[in-house]
Amino acid sequence: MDINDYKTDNIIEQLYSHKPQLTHPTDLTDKIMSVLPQKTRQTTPALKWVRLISATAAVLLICLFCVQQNESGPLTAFVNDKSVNFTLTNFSELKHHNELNTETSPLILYQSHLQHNSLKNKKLYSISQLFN
Amino acid sequence: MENQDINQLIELSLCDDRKAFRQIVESHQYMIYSLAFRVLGNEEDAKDIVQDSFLRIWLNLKNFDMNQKFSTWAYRIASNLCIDKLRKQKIKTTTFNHSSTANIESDDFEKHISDKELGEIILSLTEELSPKQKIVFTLRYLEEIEVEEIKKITGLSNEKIKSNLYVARQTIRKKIEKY
Repeated sequence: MDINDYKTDNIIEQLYSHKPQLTHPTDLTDKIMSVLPQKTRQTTPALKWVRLISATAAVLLICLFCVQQNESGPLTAFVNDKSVNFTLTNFSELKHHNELNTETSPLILYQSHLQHNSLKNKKLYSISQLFN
Repeated sequence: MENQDINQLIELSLCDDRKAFRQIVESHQYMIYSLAFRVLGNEEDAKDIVQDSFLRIWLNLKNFDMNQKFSTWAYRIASNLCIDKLRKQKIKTTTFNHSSTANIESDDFEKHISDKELGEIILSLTEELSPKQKIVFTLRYLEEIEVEEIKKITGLSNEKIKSNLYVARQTIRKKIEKY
């Protein structure tokens, strides 16, 4: 080890032993605290469960709504104040139905059903367009 | 501060408890200041690094792994900020002042030298080092951090750390040789 190695060690040792002074540490702490933005709170486990349950319920309700909308169960129409149960499977078949002008025609029954329920919706409109 | 205590304060801080976070700041600000001052060589820049470091710590607290040491994580954030600062700023080339080393070599060094002079000496001795070499040198020789922890802080391998330390030491030695 030569003199320069010794000097290097000595200087490094001196630099290590001289600790820089932090003036006004409380002011620095205050400054740091003042610039911290509002934290987005960490999600608590309870809140996570509430979110999960709400999301599941929402999905189930949407599914239920879709199933109800696509149900093809028997419909009820009122012909001459009498209720008649019928089913509709395919609207396009109605156009070629033999009993188009009879009271038991599925189209007439369906129109009756929709009118009775005041459902002036797109389905009725499109079907009526089909036959015009 | 014990690791368990700091973890408790972190848990509280995660729930927006600012008093808890203040305790973390109070107990760790000097550690970061010392590193930043010894790397950057001036008080104002060092204080900016402390402030930016705690801002990052606050914003990323949820990503902190409780199994690791908080000080290592804080050092890593501060080191990265120091490296960014060193890369951005055009460091004024400080001419190596022999009177500064004369001060260092005197017995009553600590009594005579001010922080400003200390900053100048550090800057003049380490001006030729790359930001990474400076960080490694400061962490190992001036902050006395173990190589294993420096590895976690800098992400460098043992060999790379040792070579950086060797280069840093040789650079300082050459500076001293000239005078």
